[in-house]
Amino acid sequence: VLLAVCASLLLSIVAASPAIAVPEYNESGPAGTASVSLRPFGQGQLALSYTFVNTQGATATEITLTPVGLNSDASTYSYGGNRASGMVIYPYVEGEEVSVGLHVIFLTPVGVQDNSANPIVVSYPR
Amino acid sequence: MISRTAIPTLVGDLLSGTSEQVAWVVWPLEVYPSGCLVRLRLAPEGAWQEYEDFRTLAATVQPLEGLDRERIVLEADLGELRHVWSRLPNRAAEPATGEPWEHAWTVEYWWPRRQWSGDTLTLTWPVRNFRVILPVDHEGMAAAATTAPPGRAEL
Repeated sequence: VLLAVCASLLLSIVAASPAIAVPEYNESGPAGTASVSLRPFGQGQLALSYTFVNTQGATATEITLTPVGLNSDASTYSYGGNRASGMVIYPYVEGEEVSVGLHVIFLTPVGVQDNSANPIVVSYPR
Repeated sequence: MISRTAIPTLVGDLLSGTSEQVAWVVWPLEVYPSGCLVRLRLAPEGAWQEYEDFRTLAATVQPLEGLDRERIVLEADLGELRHVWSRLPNRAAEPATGEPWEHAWTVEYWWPRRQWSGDTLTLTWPVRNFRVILPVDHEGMAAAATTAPPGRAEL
């Protein structure tokens, strides 16, 4: 039961997607922290940064980034251990409204948990 | 004042080679007063072996039931080193980007100072018949662990 509760808390970190997509997403809870941002990075580029730190049982994390309006393909990154952190640079046309969806999968002692029903979305300019 | 215990001293050289169609590299050891961090990368050569699910890919760096032979293991005289972090490859058949780690494992292990023994580490990946003996500078590690990092001003 305890493990199930931990898994539930873990999922809640990434499942609490904002009602309106924003350039920054930050959540902190008993299972760890999630932080994502989409910011200008030099001329004609945007940088997506993400950090997930788990403190309750997840031993591996897989993150799939799905850009919308950025003329880039989806990409997947995987990590072993309790932290996943990275940055991806996208080409950007000034004035466009764009977004990136983050599908996060945690491998936990009780199985695979993911936020596919409610992925995190960050957008730019707002 | 920044804690000096968080600032490592590098010991040894960058080691690299290829064995059983796996190119490998081991960074100089990051030595701290309480132990050292061993960072390495393994990049299989030839046709990419696709991982059909995340669990199988994760089994390359952590013990998962029924997938024992998949795991990359680093051992010292006194036993297995603890895996602390890894950047795993893209499990899809084709890389989404040209980043050099798309099809490579970058793995970090912690070697506590109290378990420093012997002059080698053994890196194995059973499912690929991969086995490499890595020399370590035991004396250099001991000296670095007890000496302040060079070239850093007191803050």
